[in-house]
Amino acid sequence: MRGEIEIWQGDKIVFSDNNMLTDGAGSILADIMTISPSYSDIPELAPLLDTSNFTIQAMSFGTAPQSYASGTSSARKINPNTRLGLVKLVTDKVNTNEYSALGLTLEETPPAQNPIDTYTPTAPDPQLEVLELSTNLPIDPNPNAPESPYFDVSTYVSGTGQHQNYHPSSTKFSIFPPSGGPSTNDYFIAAAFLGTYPPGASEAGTVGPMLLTFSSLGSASPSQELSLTAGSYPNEASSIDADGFISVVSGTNSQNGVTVSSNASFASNGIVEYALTLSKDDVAALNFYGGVYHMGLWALDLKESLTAGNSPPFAFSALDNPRKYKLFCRKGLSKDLTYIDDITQYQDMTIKWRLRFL
Amino acid sequence: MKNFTEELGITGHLTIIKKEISGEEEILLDDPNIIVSGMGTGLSYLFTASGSDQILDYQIQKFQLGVSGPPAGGVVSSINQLSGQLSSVDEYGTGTNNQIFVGEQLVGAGVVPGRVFAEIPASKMTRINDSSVRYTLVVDEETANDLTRDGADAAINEIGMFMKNPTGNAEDRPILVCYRTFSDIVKTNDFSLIFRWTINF
Repeated sequence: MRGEIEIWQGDKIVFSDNNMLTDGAGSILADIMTISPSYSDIPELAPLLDTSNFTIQAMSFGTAPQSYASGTSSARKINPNTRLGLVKLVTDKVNTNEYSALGLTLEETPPAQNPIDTYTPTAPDPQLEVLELSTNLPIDPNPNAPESPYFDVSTYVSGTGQHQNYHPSSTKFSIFPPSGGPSTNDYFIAAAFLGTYPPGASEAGTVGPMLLTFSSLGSASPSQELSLTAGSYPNEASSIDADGFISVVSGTNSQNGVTVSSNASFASNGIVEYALTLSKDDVAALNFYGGVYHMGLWALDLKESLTAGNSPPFAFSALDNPRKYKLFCRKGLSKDLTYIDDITQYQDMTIKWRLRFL
Repeated sequence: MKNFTEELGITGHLTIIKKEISGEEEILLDDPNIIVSGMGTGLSYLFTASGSDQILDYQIQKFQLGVSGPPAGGVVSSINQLSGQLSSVDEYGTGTNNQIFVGEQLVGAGVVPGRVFAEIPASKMTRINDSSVRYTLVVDEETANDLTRDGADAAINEIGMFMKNPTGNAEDRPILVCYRTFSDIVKTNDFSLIFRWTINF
């Protein structure tokens, strides 16, 4: 494990550990050392030489394979028919006219233990290019159907292996265009599989707060509902895209996105700090969609950004982000970072991630 | 705690080849080198967005030869300048094929003026795999010949490569990022030296 991460809630450090630099970091440094000076003579390509194309530009959070595979997370605890429908929904996502005909509904299967904090994320490996490798979803999560075929979420939506962001209406319409009118249920079902942060406070004020129904801790316990009235900080600031990449922002307010800072002695101590504050509702939603077992810092993947048909400069967009990312460093967790005994007691959480260059 | 370059495992390997006019080649050195703290300092400027906003300024784009290696304090990562770098354009040679730059050098927290560097053309920087870059530095027959110090012949025995201009100064202000000493080589116009320097990021 390499690096240094601190997680703060209020004035308390609730987690502190080293992180791991990935091979992607080395690849980016090699990119820096070999990018051609001749681009400066080509107006269309000159923006590639801006340093922002080679530095940390986003942070993201991932869950564990069990969150997808077993259907034990609250969000994904839906019945086999719904799963079958969702396979079609995701497969046909560009053919929106079919959505409303699916008649999908959310329906819980018998309760399982939840919240769960003992999933096992993909083992640490500097060669990892995503936070979580396994995002296989069984079509039938029923324990009596262990041979159920599965589909891999990443086959349909890029950037999985981490929490996605499919709830805010603007993002939903971007991913699932309203032509033909996908029903509200469809959004929630997509989010159920792919994950989401809550809408920002402004949007919640318009459409009402997001309501999470946490499954019971046991058959004798009732389900719990949590109304997310504070909303998501990154969605409020439009600094998160549909794939769950929370962008670096200017300024010092880490509620707006990932801030970058250093002290006056940076040239001699080599410390740069990336900070992000998630609202208590962000944290609750991350738990709802399986918890946080991975964190990642990402730089831009210029090759992927270009081959996706985008032109530099690659300005961040929450709706249709031209930026493709390369994993720079990561942190795996053996216990869900968002685990809590009482879901009504969530607090804002600040991640301080420091890289030491000297 | 290890620093970034150690954690990332940035390493270097230097091969020195002596090439006679006849075309005959002899390998004089084939060993690892050290990455010095200037690499971390330069990358700090980049990742804190405190230095140049042009990525080309963070490339390894210059080198120096020296005649006083190894340094008195040993070869350690805190080295920030050569022990006895060539100090004039004439020492690199008026007939050299290398482009020469004279200007300031970042040395620790200070700046030293009047330092002389040879430039590394972009065509001599080669990506050899996803995270490795090879620099081919050619010290041709007309370069660095007949060097003297204190009236006596001087031999080349140290070399360093420099990040171009991480602080974004108006004129390039290089910083030493990797360094290597080697056995004395008395350079003459009978042969050229080829330094193949591979950095694994």
